[in-house]
Amino acid sequence: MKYLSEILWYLSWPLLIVISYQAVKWFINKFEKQEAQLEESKDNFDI
Amino acid sequence: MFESIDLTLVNWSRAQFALTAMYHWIFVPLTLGLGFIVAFMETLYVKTGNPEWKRITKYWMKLFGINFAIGVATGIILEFEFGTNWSNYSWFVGDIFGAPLAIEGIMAFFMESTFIAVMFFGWGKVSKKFHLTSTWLTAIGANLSAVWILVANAWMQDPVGMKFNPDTARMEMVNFWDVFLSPSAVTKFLHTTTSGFVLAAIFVVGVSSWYLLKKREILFAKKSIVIASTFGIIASIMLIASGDSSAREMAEKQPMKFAAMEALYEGKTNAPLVAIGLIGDPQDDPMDKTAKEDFKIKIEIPNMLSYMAFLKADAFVPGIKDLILGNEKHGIMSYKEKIQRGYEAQQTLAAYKKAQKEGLPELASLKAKFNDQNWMDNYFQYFGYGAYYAEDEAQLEKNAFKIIPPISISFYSFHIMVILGGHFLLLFIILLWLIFKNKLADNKIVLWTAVWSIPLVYIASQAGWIVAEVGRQPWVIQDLMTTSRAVSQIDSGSVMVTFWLFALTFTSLLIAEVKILTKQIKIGPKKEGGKI
Repeated sequence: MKYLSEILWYLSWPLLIVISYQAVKWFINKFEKQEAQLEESKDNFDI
Repeated sequence: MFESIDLTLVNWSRAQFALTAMYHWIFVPLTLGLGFIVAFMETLYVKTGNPEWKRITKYWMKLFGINFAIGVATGIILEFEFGTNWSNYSWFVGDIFGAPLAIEGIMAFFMESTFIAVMFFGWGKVSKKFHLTSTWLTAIGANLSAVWILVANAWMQDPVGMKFNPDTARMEMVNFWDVFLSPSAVTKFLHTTTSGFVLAAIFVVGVSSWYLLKKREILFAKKSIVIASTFGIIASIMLIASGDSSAREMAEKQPMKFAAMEALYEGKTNAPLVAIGLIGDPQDDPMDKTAKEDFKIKIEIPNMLSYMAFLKADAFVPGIKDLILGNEKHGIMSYKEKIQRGYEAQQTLAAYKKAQKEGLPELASLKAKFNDQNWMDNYFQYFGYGAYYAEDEAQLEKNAFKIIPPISISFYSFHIMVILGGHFLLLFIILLWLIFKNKLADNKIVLWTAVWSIPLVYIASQAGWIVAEVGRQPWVIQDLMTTSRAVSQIDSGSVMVTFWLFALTFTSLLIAEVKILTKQIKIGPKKEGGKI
């Protein structure tokens, strides 16, 4: 197909956004868990 | 041929367009990237219901809004300049260039402006999901409007999908898909939009790092850095991939720009890539046969340029002199030959117009040439080169050396862009790594590097456009029309006056933007419940 590689290249752009959001969600979850653990260990230390 | 062109007018028109485009490009990339960062944040708010995410979203949305409002003003002027300053260009290719530009206008003014209103003023007035949809559509709309102007720009660098009409002396679009789906258009879109994503990510990490340095809004800043760094890393990977693809496109379609970007005077097989270099005596145009490659310092990567251009380590990469003087061994036609062919195409068109006007019998045979694909490919393809024709052989050879872009500007812009791009990717990785090691808040060097990367990312972004636009000179449409021929025949004094008026206006707008943004950054995000 004449334009196949160009269409695939264009489609990589929405894919980039989807992958970015999924990665953001994953890293934020990991970060929030880590922050919660830090808070918890801080609280334990305070006690 | 040059004597009839007022170079003062050309240079002032060029300066005015460059000024407008550069100022416009200060505001646009932040809009392209920050829109998605805000959309990610708001999605997290809608999914988790955590009000802290709403607070974070509203803060970055406010900075997005300030930037957007000022960016629109410069964009409108840019579109008008095609008509006021570049009317010959607009006449020649308006049928092709006009279509994507019109779609860009519709996308920008209708989609973006409709949903941006909901995004800013719809908090609490529409449902959370509808608001979120509006935020996403604003981000997508901004980028979709960019598609069309980039398709138009790519067509100027790689004109495809058109046919010349000798009756009107205009280019006409015959295949929209060839224009929209040209490899140059795709890589330009991907490279440009992802550069905007990287710029916005650096902006967010830079501002957030400043909060960490000031020990304010620690959690807000860390969360913003996690989001922006993640987006920045993924966007940087795409930026590298599309840049690599763009280099191959350029090596094929714009070999002179490619050679100028590397200051490659003599063609080479197994050509190395100058990773870092300092050019000796800048030998921009007019260059001559005696000019030699001259670097004060250079660090090279062996075979890399050949591989970058043709995916073969032993491929021949033509240098500036090969392109001008020709290289039979590698099948490269000299510029002198192209000038002669272009001149013949121009003369054929002039003869056709005369025959048409005076009803001469050769009209049909002349018109047949424009329908003959062989003649079009071998002569009309070099139409623009005819502008450099001279009867005198020595002058003609000299003129061939005028078809070179400014080498040192192209070389340095390209290298600044690439080096800084690498720096940003590394910075995103370090920031993310330090955050998860819980060591970022104490690392002042990294935090200050992130803050100072904000001006650097703007420099890299501008450098990218300088490579693209200065590197393709003297063409406004590759091989078909020179910038000198595209200009409107108006009084150079009036262009000069408007140049300074625009310079003053844009600088005031930029000062206003920087002042408003820094004020808002100093104030920081409001407590939840505060109005945006």
